[in-house]
Amino acid sequence: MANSGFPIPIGSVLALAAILFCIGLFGVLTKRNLIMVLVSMELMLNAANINLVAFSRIQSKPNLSGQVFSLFTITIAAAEIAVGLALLLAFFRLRQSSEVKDLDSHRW
Amino acid sequence: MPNLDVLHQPYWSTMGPILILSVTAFVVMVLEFSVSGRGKRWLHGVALFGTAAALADAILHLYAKPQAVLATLQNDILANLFTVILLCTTFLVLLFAWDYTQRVPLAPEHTYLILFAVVGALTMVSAVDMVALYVGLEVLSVSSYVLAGLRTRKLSSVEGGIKYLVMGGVSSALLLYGLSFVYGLSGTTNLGELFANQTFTAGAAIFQQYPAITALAFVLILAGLGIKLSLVPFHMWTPDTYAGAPSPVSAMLSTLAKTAAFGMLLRIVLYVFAVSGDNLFYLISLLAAVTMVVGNLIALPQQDMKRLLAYSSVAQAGYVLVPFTMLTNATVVDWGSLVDSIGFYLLAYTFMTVGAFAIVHVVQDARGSRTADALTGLYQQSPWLAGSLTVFLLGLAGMPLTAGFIGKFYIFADTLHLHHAWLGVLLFLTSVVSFYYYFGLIRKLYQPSISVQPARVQPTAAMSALVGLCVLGTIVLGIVPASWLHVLAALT
Repeated sequence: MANSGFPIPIGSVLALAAILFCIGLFGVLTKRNLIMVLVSMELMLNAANINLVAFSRIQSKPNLSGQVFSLFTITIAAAEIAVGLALLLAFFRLRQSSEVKDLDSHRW
Repeated sequence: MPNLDVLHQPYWSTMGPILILSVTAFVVMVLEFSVSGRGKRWLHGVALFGTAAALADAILHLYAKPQAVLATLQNDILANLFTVILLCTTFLVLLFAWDYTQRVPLAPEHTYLILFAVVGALTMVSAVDMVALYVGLEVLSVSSYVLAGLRTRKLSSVEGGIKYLVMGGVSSALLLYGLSFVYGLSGTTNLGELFANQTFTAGAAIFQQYPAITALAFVLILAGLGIKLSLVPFHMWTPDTYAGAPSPVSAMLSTLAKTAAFGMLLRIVLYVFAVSGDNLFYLISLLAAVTMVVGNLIALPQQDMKRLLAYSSVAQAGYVLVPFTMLTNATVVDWGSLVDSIGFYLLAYTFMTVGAFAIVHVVQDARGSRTADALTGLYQQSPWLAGSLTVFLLGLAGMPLTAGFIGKFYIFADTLHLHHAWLGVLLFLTSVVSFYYYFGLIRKLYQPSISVQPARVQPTAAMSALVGLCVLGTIVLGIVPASWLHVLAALT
């Protein structure tokens, strides 16, 4: 793949995205506060965005679909996080807590 | 001269159902905040009417020549088949929601949220562009998160909603990350173009040149959709969300959302990986096997009927996943028969699952409990409801003369024909395990109640219509499977 005038090597950008994605996944799985879980989720989505933009730049036939894709993703992520915060607020009203460990009303 | 091509696209014939349902959704939304009080009773009627119109349009254009709008939405075999299944599901779910609101107070916003979710689902099955596929998935998911947590004063509903949202968010991030690699390798977001590049030019070489990236993309996409389909390592959210959500929403999540996700998986697998990723399909067979075994085993000790149905839906997703594993070593002729098996099973599963959720809800509402014991003595009280639930459970277990048997039989025949007999045998064995918990419920139905006479179970008109349609679907597909198979065969 041609590196058409891209100042930073593509490998580094992809590595950045991969590291961000892993931090995000780690955060979702381990954070104790629900807000931090939502933040980590955003981190994962943004890692994918970096990938899309980087890939859109290095194609042999340069095209914008990757960048357009990432614009769609940003909008959708905002909608998702809005719903997430609304549910969190509803949860906080009922339980006076935003901790992951308090999501425990289901027993089996 | 401006290019006016954009005006001359086959919008109506290609995206008729999507257009009708979006308009209906907006009309219902406006009606919802402009009428007050008793007028809101008619919202479900309007929504049902719109769904019926969209279904009629989908059936009229079932055999239409495949065309694409702006190279993004397409009305090919796969899209038409899944559109019909999805719209049938929507009709049933809306009937269920109508009955539900007559028993339990539920925010009236659910009517148009369900319709918007369906618009997303229809986009997922008819889009041939990664951007549109992703947007469709998110429209469905975001509406479902709201629907799952809609009873904001009930802790279990909100909790279920949060769990679904976090898992759903992770799933869409995984999927998106996977899709970004597919885009990086192929240089296009259009699946049609990608498929053509792979088959006719040296485009396949890129996928073979970077096997590690191809494998990574495949695993990420499979994990992302696996969370939506609640396949086994990713199923943890399922019972909590289904148990907490309002019953029509649980029914919707286990049928509509899964059907749409299966459609999307089929599209991606066929267009992206079937040509150049065939060494990766053993992962799907592994997932299917684990899902069938674990799903059925953890359903065994369940007493709560909604959780039982949740685990049973996990296991059923495993059965539907079996034909996917064979897409790679099948010839193009066999693809038709595999898509037939998937389409048949999904429609059969829809009738049985929505029906079962509906009756569980009626019983829970009348008797205040949804443990298996609440079913005791239902037969003496309302033989019609007990008989219907028996039909649904027998169908889910896969007894002959029901749709479930025929569906499993076709999948089983495919596995023998395409040399995956071990999966077929596993499907058969795990179905035998599932008899244990389904028959446990049926036994309770026909036990006389020893204690005081339990409260009477009263189905409403909407509920009777819903149960009637589901029983009809389960039995007709079981006795005359040709009725739906002919449609499938003519399509594929």
